[in-house]
Amino acid sequence: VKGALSDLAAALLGAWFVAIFLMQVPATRGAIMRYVKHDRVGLLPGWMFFSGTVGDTDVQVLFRDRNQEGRVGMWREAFPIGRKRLTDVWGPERRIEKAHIDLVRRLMPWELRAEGVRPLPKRTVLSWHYLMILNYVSQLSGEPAATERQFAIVRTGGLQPPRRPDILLVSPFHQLQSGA
Amino acid sequence: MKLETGIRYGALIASAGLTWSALELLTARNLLLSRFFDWRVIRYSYPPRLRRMLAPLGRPGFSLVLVLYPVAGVAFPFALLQSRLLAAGFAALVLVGHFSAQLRFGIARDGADQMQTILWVGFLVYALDLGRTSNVAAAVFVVSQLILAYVIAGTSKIASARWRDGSALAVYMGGRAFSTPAISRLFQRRHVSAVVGVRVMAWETLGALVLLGGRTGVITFLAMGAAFHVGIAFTLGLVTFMFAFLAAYPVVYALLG
Repeated sequence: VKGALSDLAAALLGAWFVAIFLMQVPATRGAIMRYVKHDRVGLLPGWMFFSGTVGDTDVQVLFRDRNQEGRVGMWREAFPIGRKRLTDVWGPERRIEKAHIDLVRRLMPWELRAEGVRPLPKRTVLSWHYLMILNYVSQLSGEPAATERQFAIVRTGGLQPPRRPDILLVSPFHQLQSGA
Repeated sequence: MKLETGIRYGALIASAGLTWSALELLTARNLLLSRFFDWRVIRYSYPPRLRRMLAPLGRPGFSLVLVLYPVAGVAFPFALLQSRLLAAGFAALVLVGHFSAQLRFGIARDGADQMQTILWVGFLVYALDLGRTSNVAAAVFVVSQLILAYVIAGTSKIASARWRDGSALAVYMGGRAFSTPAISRLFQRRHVSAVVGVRVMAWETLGALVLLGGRTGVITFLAMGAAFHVGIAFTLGLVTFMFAFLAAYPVVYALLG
């Protein structure tokens, strides 16, 4: 029995290897991706590091407040990203930076290919990706008398010479529970 | 080096990566667990039935999981000296904790997390000691994934126009997310971006061929790979990748060296 289990374990590892291999091949990736949508623990990795668009620009979340008189404040960075020195390798916030990229890709993959801001579909506003950003942004301290908050997702050139950021998404104003 | 020794050293390096990752999360748990990755929102990414099953991930005690599974990882190589079954138990604990963390965050999984899964499944199958076939298959699986990761990363870069024209690293190093101002300035020099880019593509695509050169080839491969990952850890700040990929190196040496 142990011998059979040994063979079975080896066969399962072999099958898993084949599935991962097929995930890397453009012709078979589509079929595998149908399963990957439900792969929440990352059993089928994509090994194409730094060959696509992920990581080639910075994605930042900005927010601004509006008070009862309708006065709108300045845009602020929701989460400052980046390293300053080569030795800055300790990075708990790196997961948030990666989350920004993932959230943007899942929220609105079309914006990554098209210019300009589109009206947000209801499905997007009700998605957990959108709510996750809204929930985080709503907890940040902002204008003292703010009653509403809006956020935007922008793509910037990072450390390159400053250029106009691409606006990927601008949310409507959302009511704050109790002035931030 | 015996296969078991390779697995033990590999597990130690992998555990260092898990510990690093867990400490990062724990030191910023208020920001990460309570504010950004707020379970009250993330749970809605799961269907209702699964949501109920995963409810414990949202409890404050979840931080304990982040402490326990790297500890199980560190215990694995020592347990392997005493009892394969005990070691298998620790490897299973690591996988349960690792998968729980992935489910808890919902997104932001990276290649280091995925390589850790590959490693610990391999270590688990080896520790179960079902027979020689599965023991060797576990090591072959880990090593083949390592090589596949390099070859795919390399060939997909070759297929990319910006990597071929030498501008890719200037672009990636120009972002604030990975780079630093000094590194960014360095890679804005066209020849630096192009020369380093060609070397990265060559190493990733063809580096594994060095393994055909016997023991010397294996040592050369491991030395080049170690330099590559340490370089990435500092230039891109991807320390967890360094641990996850270097953890497969002792297994490579044990299997092929």
